[in-house]
Amino acid sequence: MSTIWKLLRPGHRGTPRRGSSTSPRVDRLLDAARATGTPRELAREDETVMLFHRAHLPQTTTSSGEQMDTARSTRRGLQAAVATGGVVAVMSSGIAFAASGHAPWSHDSTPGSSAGRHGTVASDDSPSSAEPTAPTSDATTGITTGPAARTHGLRGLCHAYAAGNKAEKGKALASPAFAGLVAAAGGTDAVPGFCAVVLTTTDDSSQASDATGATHPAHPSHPAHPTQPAHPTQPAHPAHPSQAASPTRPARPAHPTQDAAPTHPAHPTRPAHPTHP
Amino acid sequence: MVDTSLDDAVRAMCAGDGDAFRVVYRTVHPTLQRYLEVLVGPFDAEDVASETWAQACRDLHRFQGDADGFRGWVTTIGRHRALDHLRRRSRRPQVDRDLTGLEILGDSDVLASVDESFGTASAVALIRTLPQAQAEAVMLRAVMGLDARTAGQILGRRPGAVRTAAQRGLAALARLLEEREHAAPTESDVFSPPGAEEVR
Repeated sequence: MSTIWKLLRPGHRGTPRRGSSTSPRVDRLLDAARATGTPRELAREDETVMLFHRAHLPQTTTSSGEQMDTARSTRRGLQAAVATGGVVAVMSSGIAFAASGHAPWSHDSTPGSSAGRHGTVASDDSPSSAEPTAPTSDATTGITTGPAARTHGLRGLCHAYAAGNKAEKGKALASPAFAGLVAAAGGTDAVPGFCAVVLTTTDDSSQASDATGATHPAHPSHPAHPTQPAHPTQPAHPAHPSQAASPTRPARPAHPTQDAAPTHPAHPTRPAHPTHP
Repeated sequence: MVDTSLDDAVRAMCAGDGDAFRVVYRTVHPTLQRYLEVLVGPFDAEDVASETWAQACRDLHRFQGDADGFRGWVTTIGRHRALDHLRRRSRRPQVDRDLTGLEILGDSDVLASVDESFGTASAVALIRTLPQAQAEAVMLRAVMGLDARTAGQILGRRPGAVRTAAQRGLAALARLLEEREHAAPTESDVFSPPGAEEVR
């Protein structure tokens, strides 16, 4: 034994560089201490990844090129987070999504195409008003923008949002990482209420379905105009969710309740596609 | 321990890549949390680690460097958070030195992960019984694999002092393990699964 510790004496050039031992017992102990992370140790991984997106992204969106990279990586990160951590959301929100037949929260990520489709579908289903067709357009555009990822990430985003302090929350919602959440809630102001619903109703699919279904009236600036093209200032950017997070977007009037937005009495309270299967 | 792929991951992470962050986290977090466990104990280490990562995320734009640099950087943050935590709780780092907790942790950990020949938690708990300077040096050098210079920066000590502390700590661990085996053969037999005698 003594020779081992002579070898490990300071300044001895033959010493294994990073403090390793040549005692089998100690080696075994060090191996145990170095073991790869257990699921228990990595239990907060998804939470931490959300923190990474929330904290890191605002500082990286300084140029348009960086912003695009960031948006892409955000989406990948969210999808990865969803793949590993979104089981609960799959079981709850996913069911609501399937039952109601639309993914309302994905529709702000493609505002332009969404607006364009409003009119087209409205002329078939509901000539008098475009509003009820919003869910249909959501479902259509949602498919192209990965509705599953957004759906399942909402719960995590709400958790991440709720974890921040008051000062951080306002800034956080301007970050691309929260674009999907802001879009789902229908505006920055509506996020707290929306998250309250998402986080409390995930066990109740019908309730979640009602709540999310009611959060998405049609775009107020696009009444029934069947041939109206996409709004020029809001081109379809399914691949760039960060566009939807632009702080200049007007807040949507809807709240995650069944009540129609009070400032838009013309809105029907019932979507074209009933949320009850 | 640190390969070029982790260097790549750190670089991508700094550019905002969430997947890369995940890779870095999975690689760095386990031993970081164990190091924090040596400082604040097993029950608070998880929270301190979370605080550490939260601050690391916030300040990541200030970081520049490779994988080793990042590990040193985040460990420095972790140590500060741990010391803050200890100040808040008005507790000294080495408050829990009895081996009773070690046995409990060892058993549960062996049950939790059958792949380990020596429970990770019991290994960390044993390292934690060393004097703090030695325990920290062993964790940073021998467990996390940081070089003496980086470890010295984290601890605010000269590299030579850290090397010495690590070697003394390893020597003490060897003595402790030997004593445990001789003094209490049944208790130290954490390597065999419970009920092994009955099977035989």
